Amino acid sequence: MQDLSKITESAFSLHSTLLLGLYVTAGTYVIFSAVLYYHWTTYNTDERVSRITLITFFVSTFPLLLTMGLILLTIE
Amino acid sequence: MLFEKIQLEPDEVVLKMVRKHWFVILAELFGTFIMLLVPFFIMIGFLIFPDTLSGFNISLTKYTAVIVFVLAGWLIFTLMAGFTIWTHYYLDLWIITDRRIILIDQIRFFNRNVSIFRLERLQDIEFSIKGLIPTFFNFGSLNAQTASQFESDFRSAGMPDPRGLQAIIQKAMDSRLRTLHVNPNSPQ
Repeated sequence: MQDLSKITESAFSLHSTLLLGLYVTAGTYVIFSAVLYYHWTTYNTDERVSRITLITFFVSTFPLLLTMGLILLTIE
Repeated sequence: MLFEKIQLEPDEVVLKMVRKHWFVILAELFGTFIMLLVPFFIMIGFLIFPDTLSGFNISLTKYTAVIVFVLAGWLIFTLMAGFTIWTHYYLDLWIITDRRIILIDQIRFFNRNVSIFRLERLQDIEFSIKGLIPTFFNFGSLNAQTASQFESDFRSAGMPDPRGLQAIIQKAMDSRLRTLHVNPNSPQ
């Protein structure tokens, strides 16, 4: 049977793979946040709904991004 | 704010603002919710059938940090998809005033279609409710035809209470035509 644990010993390390994943996720996140913020501040009809949406988005997603960053610090 | 951009005419009264029926957004978000749960289902599967992993020589406890990392990434992308659906739903809007109908169609991010047509140019407004669920929850399509030479047909699916909306628009149209008939110098 194939030993998948050896994958970390191959040409790319687990750490650099995860680092690349974090960069891609963080980059997409920043762009998406800017687009979302633009649309909700420009085209909204209700200030309250706009505020709740943006706060909910950042409260639910930013800790996840932070978790990814912190995990990366613990993996060698 | 949107109204600052649309610029309602002096004395123009907004009669109703309508978004698509809640069932439409619920149905769309359900798919996202299932996607959110996929990794948890997979993990539960591995916990129920631990022998499937032993063949690959992978220990879940050894890779806990990596699993949490991937899970967090998955959740971020799924949440972004969910907020995209919510944004498109909320920014899609019909504004019915006593003089015109403003139809805002948020197709995608940076792809927005705003159509305005005056009530006196409205020729026909019809609705259709097709299917079991739309009939049960009272939502359907609204189709408006105008005398405009540029765009004569406006259609929106998933509108709540289309019969009531048709009545509101018809009433506003009659009132507008009466006003114009009595006072032809009324603001166009």
